[in-house]
Amino acid sequence: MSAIEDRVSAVFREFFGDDARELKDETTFADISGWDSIAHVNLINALEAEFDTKFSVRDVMKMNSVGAIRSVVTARAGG
Amino acid sequence: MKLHSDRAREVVSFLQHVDDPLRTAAAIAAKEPDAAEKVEIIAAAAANFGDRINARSLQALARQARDIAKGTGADAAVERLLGISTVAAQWMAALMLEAFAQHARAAEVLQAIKDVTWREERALRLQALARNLIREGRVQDAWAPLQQAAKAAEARQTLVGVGQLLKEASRTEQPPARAVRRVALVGTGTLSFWAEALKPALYGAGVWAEVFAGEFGQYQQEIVDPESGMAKFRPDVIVIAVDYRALGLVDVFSDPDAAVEGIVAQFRGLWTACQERFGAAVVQFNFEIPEIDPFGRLSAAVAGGRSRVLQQVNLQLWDVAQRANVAVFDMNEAAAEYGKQRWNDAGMWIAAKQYPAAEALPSLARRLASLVRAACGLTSKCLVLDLDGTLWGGVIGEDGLAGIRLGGDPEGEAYTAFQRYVQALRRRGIPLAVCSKNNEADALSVFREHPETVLREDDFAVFLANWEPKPDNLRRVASMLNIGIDSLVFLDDNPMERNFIRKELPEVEVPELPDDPALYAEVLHRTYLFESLTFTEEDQRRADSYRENAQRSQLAAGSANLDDYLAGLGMKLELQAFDELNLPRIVQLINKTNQFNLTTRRATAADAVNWMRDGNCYTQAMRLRDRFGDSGITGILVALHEGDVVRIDNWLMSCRVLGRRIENAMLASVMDFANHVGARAIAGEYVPTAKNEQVKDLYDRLGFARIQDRGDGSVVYELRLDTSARPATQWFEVEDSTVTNAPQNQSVTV
Repeated sequence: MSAIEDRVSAVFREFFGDDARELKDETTFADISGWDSIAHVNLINALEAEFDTKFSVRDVMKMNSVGAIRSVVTARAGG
Repeated sequence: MKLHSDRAREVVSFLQHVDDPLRTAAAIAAKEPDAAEKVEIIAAAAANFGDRINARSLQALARQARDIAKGTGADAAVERLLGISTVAAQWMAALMLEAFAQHARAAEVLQAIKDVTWREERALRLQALARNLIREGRVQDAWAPLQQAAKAAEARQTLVGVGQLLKEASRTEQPPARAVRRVALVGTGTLSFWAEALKPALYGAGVWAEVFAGEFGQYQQEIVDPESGMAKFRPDVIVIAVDYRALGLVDVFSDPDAAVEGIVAQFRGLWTACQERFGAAVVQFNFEIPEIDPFGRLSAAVAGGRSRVLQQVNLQLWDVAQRANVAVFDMNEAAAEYGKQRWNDAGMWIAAKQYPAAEALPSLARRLASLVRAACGLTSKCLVLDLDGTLWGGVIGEDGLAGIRLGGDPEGEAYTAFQRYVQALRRRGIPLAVCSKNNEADALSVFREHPETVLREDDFAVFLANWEPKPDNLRRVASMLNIGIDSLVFLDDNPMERNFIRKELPEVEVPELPDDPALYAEVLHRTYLFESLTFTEEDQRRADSYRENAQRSQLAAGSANLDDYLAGLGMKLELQAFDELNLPRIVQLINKTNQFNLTTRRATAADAVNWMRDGNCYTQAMRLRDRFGDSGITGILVALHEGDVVRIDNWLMSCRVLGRRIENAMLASVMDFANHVGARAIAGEYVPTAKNEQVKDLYDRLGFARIQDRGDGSVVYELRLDTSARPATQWFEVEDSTVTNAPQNQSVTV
């Protein structure tokens, strides 16, 4: 797992605790309790703070699963 | 001293060149697969750079600490880090102890760490401390760090995290607070984001609140429907936070007055409903004037423009709300203070109807909390001030009146500016008190005698300058004013004194002050501790300055000509010879004035002292007062009696007081001196510089004759006393003590 994926996982764990212990690319809202629409926005804000970046409207639309989030973040912050 | 591994040493030498060595070290350690090496790197970085922390490095190190805690050799790692006395090492050690569930030890370590800043870094430390105290079962000790963390937090995640800890702790016992309220938030936008930030912010302000966030976009229903969620919540305080987008504004209104009235009337109706149905206090947000407007400046320039209409709505809201007993929250000002560019996140509004931006929420929450605090009657009631270093630079007992820094140079002016801010608070109705370790006579002497003091003895309701412990004095202030000790705000430039008071009297608000006195006013301001809902009639009677301002603008509007204007200013000039007290200001003026400066001859304090002592030297420091205030010493003239001529060697005036014919009065005084010593003429000189073109023909205008045009552009002038009239000074009341106070004149007149 790349450094970025590690950090994304770390943010998830900081948000959802043990519920986010096992994160797969296919993991979505439905799989983690507490990942509701408000938490989703908070998560995006936290990722922006973690990676010192700003996600565009298009990015946000794509970020529906852990895998999608990982690839959006990599594209934005991977350099 | 522990030796680090080779790799660790290599990393350390690399980190010397990096902006954020700790964060970089955390990143390197994160990739290090060998557990022991990881610890080496972290320990080495913590030892070498461990006080260069910031919020981000603290977070990164926290993550590494938790990682290391899960691996082998964790126990040894903790002991190693505990042995390194830097902030970073102690921080990580504490978090590792927390990971081992050794909460008591973790709390102890966190408690002992000294805050490098009082901002987000402090919030993170206190949050961690509170968390460990709660886990340890010491909930009763967690409230104070939680409240302080809420005050210091800048990142939304941190503030929300503090809120979650508050929630957890409140399951065990009722949080101690100065007020308890049920606060409902209705309006437009996704208010639940606010609610999570508002609750901890309110606790930071001393209010324990249940916060209800209304349904999305249904603020009218929440207020009006008896079965609404808000109705069931039974609020004490209702915050109506509608954003400008929900007002249905068009670009240009054909009937702007009707539009403004309609909007205001709509809200007035809602306030009535809130007050009648719930008996709740109402806080109404006004409207941010949008920065991004396709009409640009026309939006305000055109009579029916959207920006203009919104500004008028905001203006009317102040008046209408006051009459209806509703408090307006100035959203526009909050956005401006934060920066409208960052306040608005276009993408997040579109995607999640989030307004303002996530990062702005702590700022908004804190300002709103200070208003709710005021609505709960908790506005602080008295500002208590230390003296040395707080109201002037230096120590009066040691440096004396001539040695303290007050006015005269930038440091001194920082203090006079702060005194002005403080004095204005007093005029607003906030009593001031002094609490200083000083002899009373020394302390009072500044307010009674220092020429640059803004505050006077009678500005203070209580004046305690003695050698007793400050906590006792603070208690006396509270009892003399018949207010609670928790209504006091205490300012002291000495961090040890501040920490001492915080420990001894935790109810007293002791804001952290920066080193730079130029920032005192704004730091005090942004505590919002004196935010108030009302300005009573009684306060108004004390508000002389408001009257004066009104008069000033009337005067400017009414004066048809310069003569009337000058006469109307009521100018009083005090012309004094140089003296020891004024010397710093005099020397400063001589060295910094460029425009109205005839010869631009700089001088040192020693030169000035020589002039003072020279029997043949006439010195003049001009101080201007007018109806609107005291400008201080703003003009300098030095003239030398040489034979039968008095030669003006140095003449300058601050650009603040130009255009008022004051040069006439200064010259008249020199003429008096020249006549007194029996001189024949006054000589003057103009030496051109890049900046003093405006006085190129000053001497010509004053009636001097050109005696010599030197090739380099400089000119020598002379004014014969037997044929010259005294210049006009009818607009001034002049008090001239230059001749009588001048050292004994010993020259022989011809």
